[in-house]
Amino acid sequence: MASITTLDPDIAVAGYKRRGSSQLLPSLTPKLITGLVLSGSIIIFGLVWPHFVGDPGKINDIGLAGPGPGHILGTTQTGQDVFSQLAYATRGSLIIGFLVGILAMILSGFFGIVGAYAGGLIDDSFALFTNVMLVIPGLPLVIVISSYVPDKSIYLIAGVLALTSWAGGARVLRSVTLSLRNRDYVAASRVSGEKVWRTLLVEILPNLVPVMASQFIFAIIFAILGEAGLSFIGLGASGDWTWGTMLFYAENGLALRLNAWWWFIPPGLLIAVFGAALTLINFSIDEIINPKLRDQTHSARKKWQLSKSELKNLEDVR
Amino acid sequence: MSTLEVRNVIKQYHLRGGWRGSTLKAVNDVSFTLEAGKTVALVGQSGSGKSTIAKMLMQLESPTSGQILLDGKPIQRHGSGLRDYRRNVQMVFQDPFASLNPFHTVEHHLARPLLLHGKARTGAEVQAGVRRLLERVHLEPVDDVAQRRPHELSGGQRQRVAIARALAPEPTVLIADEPVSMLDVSIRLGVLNLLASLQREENLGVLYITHDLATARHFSDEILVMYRGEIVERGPSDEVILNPQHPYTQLLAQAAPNPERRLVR
Amino acid sequence: MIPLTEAVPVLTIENLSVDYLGERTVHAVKNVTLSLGRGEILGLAGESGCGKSTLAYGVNRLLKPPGVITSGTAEFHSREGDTIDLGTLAGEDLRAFRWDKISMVFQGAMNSLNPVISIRAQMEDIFTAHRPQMGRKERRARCGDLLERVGVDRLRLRSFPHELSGGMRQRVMIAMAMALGPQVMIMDEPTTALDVVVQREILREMSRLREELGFAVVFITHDLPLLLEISDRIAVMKEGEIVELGDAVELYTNPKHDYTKRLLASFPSLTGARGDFIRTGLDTGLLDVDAVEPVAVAARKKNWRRTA
Repeated sequence: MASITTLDPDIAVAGYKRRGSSQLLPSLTPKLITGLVLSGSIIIFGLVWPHFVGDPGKINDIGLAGPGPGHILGTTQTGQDVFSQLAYATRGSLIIGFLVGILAMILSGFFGIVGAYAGGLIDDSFALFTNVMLVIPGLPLVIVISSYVPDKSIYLIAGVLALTSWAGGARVLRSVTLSLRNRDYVAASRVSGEKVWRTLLVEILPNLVPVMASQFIFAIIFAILGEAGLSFIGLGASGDWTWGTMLFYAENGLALRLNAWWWFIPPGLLIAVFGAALTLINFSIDEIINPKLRDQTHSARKKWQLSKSELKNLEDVR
Repeated sequence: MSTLEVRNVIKQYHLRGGWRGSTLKAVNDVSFTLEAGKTVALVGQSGSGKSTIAKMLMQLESPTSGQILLDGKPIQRHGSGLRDYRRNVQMVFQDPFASLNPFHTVEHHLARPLLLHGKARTGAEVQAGVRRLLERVHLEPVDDVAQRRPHELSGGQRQRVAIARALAPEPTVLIADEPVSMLDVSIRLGVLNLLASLQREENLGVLYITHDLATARHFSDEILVMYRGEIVERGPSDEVILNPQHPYTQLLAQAAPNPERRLVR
Repeated sequence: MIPLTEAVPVLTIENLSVDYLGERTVHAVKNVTLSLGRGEILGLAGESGCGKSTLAYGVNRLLKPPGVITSGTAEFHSREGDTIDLGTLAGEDLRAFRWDKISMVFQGAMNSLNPVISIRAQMEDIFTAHRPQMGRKERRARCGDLLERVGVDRLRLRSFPHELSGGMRQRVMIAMAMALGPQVMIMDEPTTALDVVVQREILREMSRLREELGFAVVFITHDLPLLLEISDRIAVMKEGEIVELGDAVELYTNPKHDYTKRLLASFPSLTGARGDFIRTGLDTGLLDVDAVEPVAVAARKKNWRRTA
């Protein structure tokens, strides 16, 4: 029976030498909590609230009015309730965001991962296709496609946005897969007798999850901003409610000039807050991908429990 | 009991360089035999071609020309022939940090080869098989270790898991590619002794690939010295180290750190 | 014969401790006392995590937060007779001191060269920073001289790091470390990633240079046989402490501490009797060194990681 050596945990753990990925989920930093809470609230708002508010398109006789009884966020030029519009718009934008995220992830995953793992001719042709798609200017393409179809639904917009945004992610996934493919544990899996597709699924894919999660979130941000931009110039899904179409109507209704802040600030603010929240979540995911980032944050430094002057001394030396 | 034979194997790589490429002969006409119960050391510095030979023996690459034979028959590259080959010939990789997937538990790493080669079929059999393997490499308590992930183990422990994984299909030939060079010094001998005792118990043929002459001498019966893709000298371990014939072997023996030299002064 | 250190120490380290701060403070170096004689080769042996590199970085004031020197002093006694406290050097003095009096060859020196700058530019940089009064022609000539001193052709000044082999890059690093004629050179695993043949050549160069220029060397490595061959004295480190310090030959023939004995036993002799440490049955004693920790300890570590 082997004797058990008692190692001093302080030295044994050797916190300053982290070996490999020691965490599969991000640690709960204030950053991450803020991001999750903010984005979570907006998502719940978009999913649940449309059931509780009135018809956003219902025209009233009030005309342009500020926040007050009956209308928490005031009304538009035609007396429509801004708050109900906001609820529906949130849902619309979220649908576009997540649709684009999923579509882009599928496309970039297919062309990036499968291509890189297969190697040879498949890799070369997939990479060529990816590079071509990357170089094609996104906005003009979106405008051209949009202008061909008169009645655009949010699904068309989502499709178009996904089509013009997957290529960048595919490149990243390809390079990560290429590097993973040469790792010893992939070779070991093959040496054990594992089939090719199983190696891809079981050994490589799990290690790609943090990168793909980060890309997914980034795609959502891009989609929401992209849709807002498209709608603002009139090429969006004019029939549906999204943050972008709200801004479009607000602009058309001269909200800015008329100081109707309750009309254009809420959608703009939600875009900004949602984008910021998702970015915070992304930063936390980055810390999994690159453990070195964990030690250099402010909260990490606080744990050193050094006085201000001692910290200053440290900075001086460097 | 199996014999693995390498016959006149050549491996050429084409290096891309604009319009003209150049060819690199990583392995140039190498032949040797690995018999059951014997350890053969393949000694060489980086770039000598020893890792390429390991890859070819594991069918991760195929030779440009020449043959590899298992029990006298050319090895199969596809289908059930390949599966049989993998059951017989296994490898321990150099880097204990890289050869285990950080995402999976020790149990997963050991269960897969057991299932793939039909050594266990039901969940209970797999569990029992995993326990047995961990006991053979003295990683106890086995239930605790099986649930851990690679980052929760030290380098030496990981390497023992890698050895256990290689033993799962019950192979007859083991390729050990620099199995201890990335481990802490005081653990190396323990792991090498473990390999030696496992070899004796299973009557394995072991190919010990290393750049370290000293351990090559003590743990193998025969030494093959590689330089730039060729075997420049071969013979029984003591002979090659104590009485080297080829100038490169003499250079290696002289260059290796040897404290005895200082005492003689 | 007077032991070198007692004659004229060039570096004295007294009770030096280095900690890595955090929720769980790691004591990387614990009360190390050491002195380096002028022109001596001191070997610092130990396995990964023992604190040998941290010690070197600490002495050189190269520690990155969260690494901090928590106690002790390191003093440099220059040829001219003055004593400089390395802990209190700051700002311009520290900058001038570095590389001029003590220089360092880092671990993974192959990656310490800037890949997009030519060798000449990197070497000249040293002189531009420390000897601003030197003219351009003289600078270039000195760089060429330095390269030839370490056995690299002068023409290689034009090359970029990726065009040189590993051994050559290492020699360039050594040349750069020698550029200002330092009195102490700290070498942290300088030959670990190299071919054994190349390693031997580089060690030969280093010996020759030492005889020529008379600098002291602190040679950090886990390769104990190597240290036994080249060092005057050897310090064995374990878990932040020096467990044994003594003359190299004495350490080899008559080791006192258990850890030293175990370390020595880990290196089978190339030319000695064959296989006397191979047990016929498996000796679990050797594996016990690397035993699996009990669940409680591992769980404690897991909690630490989660909150870190």
